[in-house]
Amino acid sequence: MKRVFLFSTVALAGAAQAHYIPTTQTPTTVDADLVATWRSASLVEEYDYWQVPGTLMGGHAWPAREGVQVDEMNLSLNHRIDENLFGGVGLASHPEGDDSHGGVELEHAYVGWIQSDGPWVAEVGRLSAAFSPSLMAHAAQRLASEAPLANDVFFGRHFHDDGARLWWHETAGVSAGAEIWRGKAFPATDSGDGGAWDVFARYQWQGERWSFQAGGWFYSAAAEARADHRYGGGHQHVPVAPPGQTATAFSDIRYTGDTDIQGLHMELAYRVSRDWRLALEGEWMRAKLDGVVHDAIGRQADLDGTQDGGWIQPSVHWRQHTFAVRAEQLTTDNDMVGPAAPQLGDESGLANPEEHDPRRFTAIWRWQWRDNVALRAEAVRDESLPETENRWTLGVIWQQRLWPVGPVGHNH
Amino acid sequence: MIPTRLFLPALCLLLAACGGGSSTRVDDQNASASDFNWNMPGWVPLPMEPANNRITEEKFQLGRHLFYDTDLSGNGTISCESCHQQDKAFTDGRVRPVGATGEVHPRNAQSIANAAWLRTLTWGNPALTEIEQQIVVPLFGIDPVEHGINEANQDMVLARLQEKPEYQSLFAAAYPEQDDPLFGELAWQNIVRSLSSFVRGITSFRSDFDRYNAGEVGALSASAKRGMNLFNSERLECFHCHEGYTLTASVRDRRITPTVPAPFNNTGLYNIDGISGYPAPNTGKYELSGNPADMGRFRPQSLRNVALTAPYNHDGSTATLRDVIRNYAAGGRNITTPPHVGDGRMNVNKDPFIVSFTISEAEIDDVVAFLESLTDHELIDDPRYSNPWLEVTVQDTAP
Amino acid sequence: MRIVLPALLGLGVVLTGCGGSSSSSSDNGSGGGQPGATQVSIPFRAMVGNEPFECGRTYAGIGLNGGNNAVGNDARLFIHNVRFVTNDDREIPVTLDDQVADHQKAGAGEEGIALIDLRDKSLGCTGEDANPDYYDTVTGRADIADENIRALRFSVGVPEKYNHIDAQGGQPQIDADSGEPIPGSEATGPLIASGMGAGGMHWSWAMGYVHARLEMQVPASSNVFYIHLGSTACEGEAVNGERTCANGNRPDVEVDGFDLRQHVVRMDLASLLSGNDITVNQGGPFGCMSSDVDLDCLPIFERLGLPFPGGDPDGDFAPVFSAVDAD
Repeated sequence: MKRVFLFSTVALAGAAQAHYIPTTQTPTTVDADLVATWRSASLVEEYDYWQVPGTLMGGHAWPAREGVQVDEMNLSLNHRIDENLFGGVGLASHPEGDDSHGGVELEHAYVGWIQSDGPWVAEVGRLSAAFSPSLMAHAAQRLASEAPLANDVFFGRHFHDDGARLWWHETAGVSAGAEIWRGKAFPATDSGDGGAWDVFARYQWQGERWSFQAGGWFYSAAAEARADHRYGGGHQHVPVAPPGQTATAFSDIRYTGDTDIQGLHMELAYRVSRDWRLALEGEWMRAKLDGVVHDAIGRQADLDGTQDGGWIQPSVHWRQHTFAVRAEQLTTDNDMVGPAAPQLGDESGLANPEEHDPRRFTAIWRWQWRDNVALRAEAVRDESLPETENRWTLGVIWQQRLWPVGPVGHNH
Repeated sequence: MIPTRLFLPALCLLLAACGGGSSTRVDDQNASASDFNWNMPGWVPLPMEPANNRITEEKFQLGRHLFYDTDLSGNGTISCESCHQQDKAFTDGRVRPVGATGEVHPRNAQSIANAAWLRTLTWGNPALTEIEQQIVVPLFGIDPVEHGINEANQDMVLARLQEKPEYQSLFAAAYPEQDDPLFGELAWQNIVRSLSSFVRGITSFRSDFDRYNAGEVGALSASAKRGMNLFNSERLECFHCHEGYTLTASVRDRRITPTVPAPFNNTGLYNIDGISGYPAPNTGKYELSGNPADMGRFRPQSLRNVALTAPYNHDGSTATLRDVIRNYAAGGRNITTPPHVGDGRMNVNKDPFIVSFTISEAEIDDVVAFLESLTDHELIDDPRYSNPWLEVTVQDTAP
Repeated sequence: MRIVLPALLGLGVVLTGCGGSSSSSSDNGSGGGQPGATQVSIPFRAMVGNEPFECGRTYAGIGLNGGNNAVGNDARLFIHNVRFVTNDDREIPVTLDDQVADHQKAGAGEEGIALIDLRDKSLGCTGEDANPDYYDTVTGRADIADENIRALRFSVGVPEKYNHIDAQGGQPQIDADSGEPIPGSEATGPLIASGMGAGGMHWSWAMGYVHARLEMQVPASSNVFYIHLGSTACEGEAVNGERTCANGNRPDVEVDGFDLRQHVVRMDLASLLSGNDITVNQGGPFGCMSSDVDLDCLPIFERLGLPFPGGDPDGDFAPVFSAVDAD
């Protein structure tokens, strides 16, 4: 029982879990996780598009859909090659918005170097970003089944890209480093003048009853003719709807320019007793957009935008049960200037005629039913669009170290 | 256990403290501001206007009188209307039009409705992008002679206009800043700019298709809807070149800064001698560019009112819409009888979207029904665009 | 591709100022001329053989195949980049005056453009009255007082920089990137005068100027044998100042032996047409409108020293432009 408790606590507390360096004692590990969730309602209609007003979206930020869906599956292999070298390969699947975008993706494929008796770690290959814990976290590791709204809007939900990272790794509670990216991950592009980089630092402290983690980061992306690859970007046609329903073509509006995002995150936890634990987590991000919104036929408008996103999540942990509420909000402040600004505003989703402040509230109950299997129920009030949608969910989470077999905890 | 729902009000307060007040401010730099009566739905973006010839109602009305005036030709026999007749959506129904001196124009007269939105203004000439530049071609051109106005007769032509009482007030109203806009040295410039204003002001966005797009689902027949789906299908590929609200990729408006070259496409109509030739002088963009790859490349036409503008193609060589569709279905036109023998399907410059497809007669009916739904029935007898000299006659004979 | 022309005859030339012989030559101090520059006037004459070109006059023996009768119909051309050549082959530019605004655009090199109109009768060359646009003498200033001049050079036509501007005037070209007007791209002087009405010196269909418009009517058929020089094989947006032409079709002319004090520049239409049978049209419009697939253009381009498919721009032909004595 104690082991289960420890496992769930560690799993839930540490977004750092997504980045794992195998130890020389346990040189080879294989981990799997799977999240499947049933939702009572879809956020948008079948032939509609999820576009939060006042934002430019993209990446993999698909809307919640009615029915059962595999939110994600991860299978990762990590191996300590020798004293200084390690490598990892990870496959993942994510839910996608329509038939043509599904499939399993190679999310991790990297080789790393770790300093002997020192803090420095360098990695190169396909990596998840380390700068934001929430961006690194998978659905199995989050309390809520759905990614934070800010991550969806600013980063297209996930962040996996080809690149390199050099960092001071979790020494005396401090991690800090820099990453450079090819630019395949939203909101950058990997074209000639595209790409991205970031710097980050965080501090972790663990006391008798209190634990604390906080950090900050800055990310800068350049994009050229970036499409919203959820629905556009390639050869497009009017989607075909069954008789009686209508479908309109997605407006393929592009963005060329810079996106600078900075963030602060923190987590505070207090263990009341063996059975009770309280925690408070949150993150705030501010995105600055400076570029041009344009389309294929030569319409363009300058965009100068400042967008804030954040979430705060108090939680109560009692034995194998966790009760939490996540409250999220986005505020967007954009200026579009140019002859085509009205149309491009409408078609890109940047227009916000109702001056809507997108919000979402998620009430969560998570029950660690077995060592490696948890059940989850949520009630979601989704105000990401001007029309509020309520839905509830039931889900199962399987998360397990498949190799080596046995009760090996997650440690570095 | 703690009632999680109690968190909500507190969290809302917490978030509210963080701000809110989202807004997106849009500044179109006056692109949607115009005092002119464009006679079209509000969703249509305004067309470009040259800075030195902003449209006014007065210029438009003067241009309308000039457009319908046969005195605006060397020998007083033709007007602009001779080849651009309102009841045919401003075409003339002929294979090829005839100028004032009887010279036959090498190309088919095309509709001038919505000309203000065209990226380039004639069938195959990429250089003519402004109506003001284009209009001097029919007025003063010598190859071919259209209106037949030349240096020798231009003073006489102008004198005929100057004699008409109507023009005294029309010119004065259109150019109030000039001392003598009809007799002064800017008279010809004023004529060209007024004609341009009239042409620019002829708009046509009132078809069944527009009503359908505006939400009137019943505006299109079942056949036209099937035709629309065929038109937009990967099988027929029509929509690649005939796209958007003008039904042509050759489009610009105040919101569009063209970043790609103006479109010109070879549709495989000819392949003279098997070396991809088109019959001179109708060689398309090649005539101006001299680039062999441009041989036979013509601008994609707007399909608005296309049912009224037969015959078709740059030289009027295709009689009906059904024949046009059949040419496309064949992936080009194979001509086996002289003088232009050659298999256009094999033309090396042919656009990659001109691929053959199978289509049934019933499907052709559907596509034609869709094309007919692009007709603006109000255009062809809209009094705003009609011959003003006929109105005057009626008024004169009235007691 | 220079047309080298021996001097044939001679006579004096207008030379205001100090006669062009001393280092203390005139400096009027007006019109932007450089210190020490000499005021020069360079007269042009259109001729058909040894006869002066006159509108409506019939000339015999024009062209190939024994020659045919032809009637003078038009003789106009733009020139620019006027300069003198010294005995030691240095070029001395002539800065054109702007004193005749409708005929000259002031400046040197590509900036100095003149429209020479050698039709002696009224507009269209058909009336009896004097042609009010008649203009036969280019005026300007050149620093030639101490120089030994052996030739005059100029280019026929409107330079590419100005060839695709809005000839109707009042509308500058707009830079596509900045959206700003391109300085100097608004038509002025002869460039605007020729673009309006039926001026005849603007090729509106091709968004360029007619560099030269030389026409002889053929009485036998009542056709006009056109020689309209214009730039062809062009691409790019004219309104954005991006249009360029592969075939500029602007002959660069050297008038050898030209002496300001005694010569005029003769433009000989008989020499120009000496390779054509003017009663036959070999394609395209009657005569030559610069199309490189119109075979009527081949001998004409050869005589102007212009490249043409299958032609020889360096061939040895009787000169079209030459120095002759003023009469």
